[in-house]
Amino acid sequence: MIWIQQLINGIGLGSTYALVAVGYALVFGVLKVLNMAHGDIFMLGSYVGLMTYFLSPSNPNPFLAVAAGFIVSGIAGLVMERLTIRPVIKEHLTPLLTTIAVSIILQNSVRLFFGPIQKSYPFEFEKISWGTLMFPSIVFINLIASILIMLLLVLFIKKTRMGRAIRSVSENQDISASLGVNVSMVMMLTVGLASALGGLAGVLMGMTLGSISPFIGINYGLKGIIVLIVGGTGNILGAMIFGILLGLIEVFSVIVLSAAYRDIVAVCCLIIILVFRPQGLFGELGVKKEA
Amino acid sequence: MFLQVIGIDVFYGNIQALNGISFEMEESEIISIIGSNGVGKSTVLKTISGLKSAKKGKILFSSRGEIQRSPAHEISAMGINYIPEGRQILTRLTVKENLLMGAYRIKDKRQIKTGLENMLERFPVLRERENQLALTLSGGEQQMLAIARGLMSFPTLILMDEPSLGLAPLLIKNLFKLIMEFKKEKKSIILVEQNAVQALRVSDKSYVMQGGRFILSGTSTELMQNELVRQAYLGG
Repeated sequence: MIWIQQLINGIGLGSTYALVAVGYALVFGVLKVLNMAHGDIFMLGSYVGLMTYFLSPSNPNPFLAVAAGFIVSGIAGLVMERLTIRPVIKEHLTPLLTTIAVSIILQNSVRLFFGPIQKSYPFEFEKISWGTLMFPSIVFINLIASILIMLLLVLFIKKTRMGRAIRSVSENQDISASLGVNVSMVMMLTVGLASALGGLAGVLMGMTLGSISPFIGINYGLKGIIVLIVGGTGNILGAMIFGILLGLIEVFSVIVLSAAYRDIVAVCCLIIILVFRPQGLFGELGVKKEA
Repeated sequence: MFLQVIGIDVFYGNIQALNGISFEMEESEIISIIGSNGVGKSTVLKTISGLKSAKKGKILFSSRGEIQRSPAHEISAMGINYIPEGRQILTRLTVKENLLMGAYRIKDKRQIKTGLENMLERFPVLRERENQLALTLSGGEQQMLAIARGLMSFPTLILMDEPSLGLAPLLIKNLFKLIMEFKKEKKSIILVEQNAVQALRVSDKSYVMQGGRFILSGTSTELMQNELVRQAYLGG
């Protein structure tokens, strides 16, 4: 029975990784930038969700928390794109540096404001029993919500006009512009969307695992980047699939090996993929095209 | 005057690509720009379409006034469509999605649907491959897709950049047959071509370009009989 429990935990963990990785994939696909602050935007979202609890501690609203995390992180993403990415996007490596700066600023601002110690996420959820197992309902809510969101995102990318525009801009900016797409607006909205998803994932994670700290962005950010690369850099589906896979792999590695090896597993996957299939599971081998 | 280009200078870094380019165009005319490789023909179209900006000079379009400072997506919204050099279709999208992207700035869903139907009628090969990735199309089919995409938004002015490049002779024949149909339909086109023979045949007025400047201009009939042009571009 422990397998079923761990399977569910694994998919739950994996869906957090998947949502974070999708954020990287969107920004990398469209802007060709690795957003080093994405993990901390995720962290920021989790703290925003926490703050909504204290608005009405006697009657907390988890939906409000998720919505607040989504919106605030989304806005942070829009501002970040405008101020720290757009001005330097023509330089190849500079956005990497500026987003690292944003990461440092976010981590330390939150640390100064809330303190460096772990804070517990006080939202309470009723327990659901399933056979001989007991789960807090949030575990299922997290799972279902994450998968639903990923489905919606795929539908958005594949079926809507804006989704087509995003795919078009990630392939060829000049052609997109000459077809009437406002490329810089699409870039800004993409970073906003990616960040909003990250913030939402942060709140869900906080509610599921029960605690957050100003430094969770480091761990989840790194795992997110690994998932991005192994899934196929810039490939949204790959990020989703390998995100969930990684969650499962990590959880089962704790059973089979020990908790100490948990983070090593992710890095091992990265090394294996880079050696045997550097384009990632779903990526394309390509030569970089210069304009 | 439909389109007026006045004294355009364009630079790539420190290298001057266009030097004092000026010409005029009436509606429903087909203008061609011919010349050998690398003289700057594509740059003229890229500048009009907003993908390159001019350091000096003006471009006046119809009722819009000066457009030389407008960004590419605004110029597309004015009805000027650029069909790029080398096809440059969106390979990761399907044929249908490429055509839908051509209609990006059209809000009316019915107009888009009608336009799509029209294109698939006109180019049956595209209907066959409607849901295939554009990547899988042959060179000639990709050129067809690029042109169809350019027509989706009912453009006022079509800029065609070396459409015959890399196409087999039979396909080149079909391509210029298509452009002749456009002529009958009174479309306004600026055609940039290395294939001078065909370009002069389909166009009303022509400009010969060398070293970033226009060195000769006239009606296409005049130029077809010009000794210099015959020697240099029409094979003597």
